[in-house]
Amino acid sequence: MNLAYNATEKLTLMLNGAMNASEGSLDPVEMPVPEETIEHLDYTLDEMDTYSNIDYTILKGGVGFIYRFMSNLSWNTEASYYDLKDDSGGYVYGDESGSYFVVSTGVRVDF
Amino acid sequence: MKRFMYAVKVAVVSFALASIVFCGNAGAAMDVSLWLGGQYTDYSDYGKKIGEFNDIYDDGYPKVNLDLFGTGENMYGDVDGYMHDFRTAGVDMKMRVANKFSGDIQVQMFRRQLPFNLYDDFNAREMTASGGAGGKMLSHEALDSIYDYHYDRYSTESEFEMLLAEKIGFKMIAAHQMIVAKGHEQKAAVTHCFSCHAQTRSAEKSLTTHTAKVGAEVTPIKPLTVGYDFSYRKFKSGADDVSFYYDPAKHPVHGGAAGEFGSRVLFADTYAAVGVYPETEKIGSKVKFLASGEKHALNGSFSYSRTENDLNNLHNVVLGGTMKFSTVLSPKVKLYANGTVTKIHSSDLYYDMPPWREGQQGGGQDIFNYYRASSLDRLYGKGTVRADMMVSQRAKLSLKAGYEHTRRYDYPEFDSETATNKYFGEGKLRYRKGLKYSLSAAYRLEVTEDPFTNYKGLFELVGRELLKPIGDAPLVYYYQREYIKYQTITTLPTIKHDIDLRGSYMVNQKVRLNAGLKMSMDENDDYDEITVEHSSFRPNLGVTVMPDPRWSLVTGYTYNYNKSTGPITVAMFDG
Repeated sequence: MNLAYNATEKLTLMLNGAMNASEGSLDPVEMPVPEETIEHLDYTLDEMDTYSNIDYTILKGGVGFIYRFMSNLSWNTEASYYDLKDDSGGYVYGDESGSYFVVSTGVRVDF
Repeated sequence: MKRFMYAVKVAVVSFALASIVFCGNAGAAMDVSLWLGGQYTDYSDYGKKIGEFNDIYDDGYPKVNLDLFGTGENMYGDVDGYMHDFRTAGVDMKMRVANKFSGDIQVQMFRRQLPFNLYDDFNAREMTASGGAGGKMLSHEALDSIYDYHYDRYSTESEFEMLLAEKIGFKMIAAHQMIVAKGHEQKAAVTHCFSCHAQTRSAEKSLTTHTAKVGAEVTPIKPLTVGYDFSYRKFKSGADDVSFYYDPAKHPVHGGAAGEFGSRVLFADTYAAVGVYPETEKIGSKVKFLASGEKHALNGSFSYSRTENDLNNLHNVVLGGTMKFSTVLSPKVKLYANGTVTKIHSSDLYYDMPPWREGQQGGGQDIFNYYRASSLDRLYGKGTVRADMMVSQRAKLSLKAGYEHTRRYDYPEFDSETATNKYFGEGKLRYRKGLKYSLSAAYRLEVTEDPFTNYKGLFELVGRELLKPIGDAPLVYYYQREYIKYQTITTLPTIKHDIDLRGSYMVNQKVRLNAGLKMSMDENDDYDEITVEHSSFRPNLGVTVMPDPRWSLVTGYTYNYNKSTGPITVAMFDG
């Protein structure tokens, strides 16, 4: 989503956001009952199908503005926040949840 | 890095020279847009996934964006450059001088983060009925503590064309590409002498690819143009090989029986290099032609390439040819016909294996030598015919039909062949009513005979009832399970349907909608007892709203659903 508002002739305000949710899973596997079972069984195969689960949510939000001093000189600033939430279980790479914040500001000159 | 900076300097000097040409050219004009500023970044928790293509740092950096566009009499130049931090930068330069010279240079660099595989799932050991430790186990070990894996990628691409003799259209072409990846990555090795033990360690990554092309084109007699290209590519790793220690061969519980365990493995109590990159050179030649008239056009090419791995003398040869024909049958109907044929052959490799269980009771058989034929070996051909018809001023209909044949050599056995035939048909209708609305609908049907199938067998019968020791061997061994495998399997379909619907609608001068739906369904109907199906469903919706000159809103939603059904197999030890 991108929203822009020309507050005045010289000032434009901006707001943006995005969301990406990804999920993937296997159906539970119906394992056959073996003819013989061992006495000590600390591990079962009940959650075997969850090993390959994918469950990520990425959120991005940003605000910014452009101020035009004159037709060929402007100043813009933008601040954005990115966040990833990992609910897949972390079997292979661990918990990959993380976020970062970035702010950039600068001046544009046209000639 | 030095070579990359050299390329950047060449590019900057080239542009400076071009600027001088522009400035000296009567009627020259240049527009420059320069953005100068800075950026601050702050990461929290695990940054490698969310910042996969970023340099992860909590600091501020200068930032630059530069756009230059210059025009002169019969010429123009364009430069777009950016630098977001000291590892993310790029520049794209173009220059055109009438029809006599064109040059393109692209330079890019970025950092890519790599994850660290924990191998935490390698953590189990069987327990005997008496409660003691059994022999079957999974374990893991990271030889380096958690390492920050990433690599920096630098690339330069340049292509130049120069018209040397306008009367006969004689043109020279030169192009070069360089890609460098430098950093560190995680390498793993699994020893399976007496236990399944995974080890990982860090390894330097230093890969370089150079590709160069020179060519020429000439129009000896109109409307025929012929050309020739020669290309060379070199890929090499500059990093030292990484070695892992393979466990000594012995019983996993009591540590004895070294002779028996050692007789079944190739590496024991030794170091071996793992994950060695090849060093390849590829040489290619292509002859091409183009003949175009007012209503017809025919173009084609014939190519040959040979790729060799300098580390082991294996090679791969590809012969290919393409032909494209188009004709205007009437003011409302155009016809296109394309064909391509490719033949690929890679070196066969003979594995001379040691005798099986040499020196042990019932052992010494020389039964595992074999020829490994490359799965790339094949003859491939494809032909398509398409007709585009203007049904009316607003509607366009496109119909396409095609055939694809793949003949694989030396599969499933050496000196045998398998063939796959695919037939497809496609129809697409587009309707547009000015700027008010547009619709398009497309349907594609694919029918495949004998899709690629794994003949090894996915399942195994119960071995205890069928397998017996061979000769005077004391036990049944794992390799004997190859004889009780069954069920050839493929996950490829024999029939596939694709639907693609799109539309856009201008509600009024302030609101515009666009929507689409892509669906795909396929199945393999060769199997009676096994289900092989895939389906996907992808709708999307977009809205643009501009209620007045001050406000604008662009928003959209995309959903992607994929489902696959197929057989799986799980290992169940029965002894």
